[in-house]
Amino acid sequence: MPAAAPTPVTSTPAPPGADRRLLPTWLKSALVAGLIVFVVVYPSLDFTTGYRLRFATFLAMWIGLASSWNLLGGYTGYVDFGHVVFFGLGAYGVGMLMVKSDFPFWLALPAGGVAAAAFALVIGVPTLRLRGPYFSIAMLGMLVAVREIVRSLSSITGGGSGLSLPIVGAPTYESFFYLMAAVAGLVVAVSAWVRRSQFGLQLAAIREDEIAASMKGINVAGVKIRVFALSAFLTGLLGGVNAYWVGYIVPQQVFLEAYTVQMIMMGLVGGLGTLGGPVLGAIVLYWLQQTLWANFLDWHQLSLGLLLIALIYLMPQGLLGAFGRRGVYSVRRLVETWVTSRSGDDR
Amino acid sequence: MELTQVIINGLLLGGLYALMVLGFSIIWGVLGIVNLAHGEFVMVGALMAWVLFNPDRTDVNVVLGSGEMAVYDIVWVAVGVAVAYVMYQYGLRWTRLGRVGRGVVGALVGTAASALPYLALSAADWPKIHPIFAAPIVAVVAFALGDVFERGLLNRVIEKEHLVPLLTTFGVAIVFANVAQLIFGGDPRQVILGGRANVQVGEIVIPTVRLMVFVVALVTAGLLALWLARTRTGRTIRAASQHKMAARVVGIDIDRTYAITFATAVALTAAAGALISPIQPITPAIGPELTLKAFAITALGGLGSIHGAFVGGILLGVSEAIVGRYVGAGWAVALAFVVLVMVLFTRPRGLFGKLAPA
Amino acid sequence: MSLLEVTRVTKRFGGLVALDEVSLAVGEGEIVGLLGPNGSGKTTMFDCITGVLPLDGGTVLLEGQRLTGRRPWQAARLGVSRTFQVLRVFKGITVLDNMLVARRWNGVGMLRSLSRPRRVDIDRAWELLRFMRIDRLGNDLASTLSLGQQRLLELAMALMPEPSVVLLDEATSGVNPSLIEEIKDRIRELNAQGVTFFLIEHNMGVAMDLCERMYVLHHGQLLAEGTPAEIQADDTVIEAYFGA
Repeated sequence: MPAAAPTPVTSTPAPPGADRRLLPTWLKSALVAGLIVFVVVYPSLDFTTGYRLRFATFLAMWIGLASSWNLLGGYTGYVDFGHVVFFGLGAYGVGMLMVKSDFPFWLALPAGGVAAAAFALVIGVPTLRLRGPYFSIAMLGMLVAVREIVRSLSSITGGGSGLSLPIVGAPTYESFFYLMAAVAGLVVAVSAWVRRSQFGLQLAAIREDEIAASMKGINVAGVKIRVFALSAFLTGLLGGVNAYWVGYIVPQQVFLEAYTVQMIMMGLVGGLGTLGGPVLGAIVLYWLQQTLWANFLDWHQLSLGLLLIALIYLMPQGLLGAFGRRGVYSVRRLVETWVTSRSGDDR
Repeated sequence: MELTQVIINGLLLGGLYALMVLGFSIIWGVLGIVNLAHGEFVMVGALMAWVLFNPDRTDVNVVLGSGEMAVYDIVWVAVGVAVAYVMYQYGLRWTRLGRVGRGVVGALVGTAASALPYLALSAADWPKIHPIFAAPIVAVVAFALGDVFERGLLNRVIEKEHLVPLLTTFGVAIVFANVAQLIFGGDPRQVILGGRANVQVGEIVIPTVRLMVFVVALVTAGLLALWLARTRTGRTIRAASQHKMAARVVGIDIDRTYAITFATAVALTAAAGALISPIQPITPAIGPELTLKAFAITALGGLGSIHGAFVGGILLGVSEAIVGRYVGAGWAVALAFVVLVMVLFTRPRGLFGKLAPA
Repeated sequence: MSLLEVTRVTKRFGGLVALDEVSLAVGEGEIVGLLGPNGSGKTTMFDCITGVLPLDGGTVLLEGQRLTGRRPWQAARLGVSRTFQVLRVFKGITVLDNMLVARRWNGVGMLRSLSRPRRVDIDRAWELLRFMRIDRLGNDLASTLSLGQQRLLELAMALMPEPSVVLLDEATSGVNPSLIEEIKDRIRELNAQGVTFFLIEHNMGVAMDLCERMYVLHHGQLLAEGTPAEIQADDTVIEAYFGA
């Protein structure tokens, strides 16, 4: 069969530093363990008021959302402007199964995620064939279309007035916090795993140069649809938890474009395509929003838009300088590119 | 026959869509940017026209500090500022005046342009301004807005990876939608015209307003086509769209061209919005739906193509009318998306292919 | 039977006939050249072989297996490796990762792909990088490499999946002379170990030096074939390159 490879010299191990990481492994494990402990005790702390618990739950949700979007947008380079559609589908999946079919929540939740993934499989086939901005906008269109359809099917979905989930027997706020944190943790864990895996390599190759990737033997279409479904599933799970937690679902709120922007911005601010980027971005952005604009609810979305514009104005180059499957952590690169773009010489 | 009526409705709607989409298509074709704030510009135009038509409405006053200001007045101030800006940027280029000079003259002209009509309206006890007359006023403001936005922000990101310009326009869309929400609230607004509502042709009923808009759409498209084909600026725009590098080499000021193109396109879009205001209720949240439709129509008709905008607009209009009548309203919006995906999937160049101005 | 058999391949672009019933063959262990003036159809031929372009006629066989009508990723998995005239490496990831992307993906489904890169692949990658003398750059982003180094990387990537045949499209284009020599040396060494090469080469010197046999295309048709000496003496070839 194949022509012989160059006869191997004695197989030497990879040179030191080949798997260069930012932090040593023991430190990372310690941090993760510490974080888990923190999450477990958080609700019981005196510090934790009802407000703070809700804050933490939402924060966990956004970390999860930003990370799940990042799988598709950051790792694979497919910028999905309508990704929140999966959030909404997960929400409605859970809602409808619990309300119409009396499913218990623990069964409805994964089913909701699967529903979102199934939808992704169906629409992924045509839309993933679209390049760049076409894909982005097609997904935005998908979001708008699904929202309108859900709103129209009022007999099934409750239409514009929405769906109310059973409150009786619902878990406590503490339990919801744990659940949300667990799902967010799952998303981040999956992202971490994918990143190191060969699947992650395939995604990176697709992001860099789809045609070259296929020339290297990668079944690009197959890989794309898988990551699409995976991302949709995770986003759907988050939507399902959110639905039960909030207690009701309204199309205008779960299928909200601004949420997608928020997911994207979190990834951008923290560093697209990295593991910690979306997490960091979610923390920073969510905290900013809650503390700076908590008093101006009406201004919430407006400030998001303004922030986005400000970000772009200040560092048009910097926002995208942070790619890299493994590599220098994005914040530094972000600052570097910001500095160079200020000196006026970017092209 | 009912089907004929539905089709006629669809046709008229299609003409309106075409007008609405011209700007979107041009921006995409020339600057290579998909304007995700498109729907919001339509909305702004429509709401401005509504304001001009309803000078007496005080439920939309804006609170500034401890005082209040009528949105109506703000609109006229905006007109003044816009005219001043346009004069400064474009109007006085041939004079020898320096920047300051142009600024001063511009300011004077702008003040006059806004104060004189304002006083005249005041003297006439605030008549309602018909959307047809509001449209050019709205267009001027939108032109200035678009020009500033393009030069100030968009131009910096035009040649970056596609994500950035998309996000930029998306950000603007969010800002516009929310500012409008803050001022106007969520209630739908529509311009209620008096006069004869319908024209009857045999058994077909044609709403006058829609007919009027259809005619305006045709006329505007024709003028636009002429402008692109015959005037120097128009030709420059076509050149720039076809080959940026070559255009630069030949000495065309690309930045200026982009700015004018974007500003004109946005002006057209806002004017279309003004014309939509009597036909359809407008809420601040209507943007994304309109942007989606614009995208679908442009995909159908091809980038930068004026015929394409019409054919695409009419096709979508008729399909929507049929689906809306026989299936359901919500599905009509979904239809736009389905069309979109089908077209992008099978004929990525649209039905008419790349840039082909009339 | 030759390793790579191209039989009466035709490719049209609208009215233009880019390839007109061209037949050629590459035997195992050979270094064969594909020459011709600009626009003669050389890259189109590569595109047809690797499945980037569908054929309008003819067949392509690799070790007796049908390559015609395969998609690029399928052709790659069957054993065809290819480089590009305009360099195509994955700029945003490291050199080592580039190599790992280039591994043989046969039989790696969703489940298998979730595992970490295999030790055997990593070792082979370092092997090849060492061979190309760019191993010290292994952990650098591919974008930081010079053009010459990127060409070496591209060559290394082409070898990574243990291909049956390596298609090189202008492997020395844009590279400085000393590096050209290095690339030639690498190709010769590899060939000595049994790797089969099919090269498009514009640089006559390189082509004549490396190839044992060559084909010359002109306006999509096979003009001549033979050894370098034969080709150099062929009047039709000279006229094609320098004539009207």
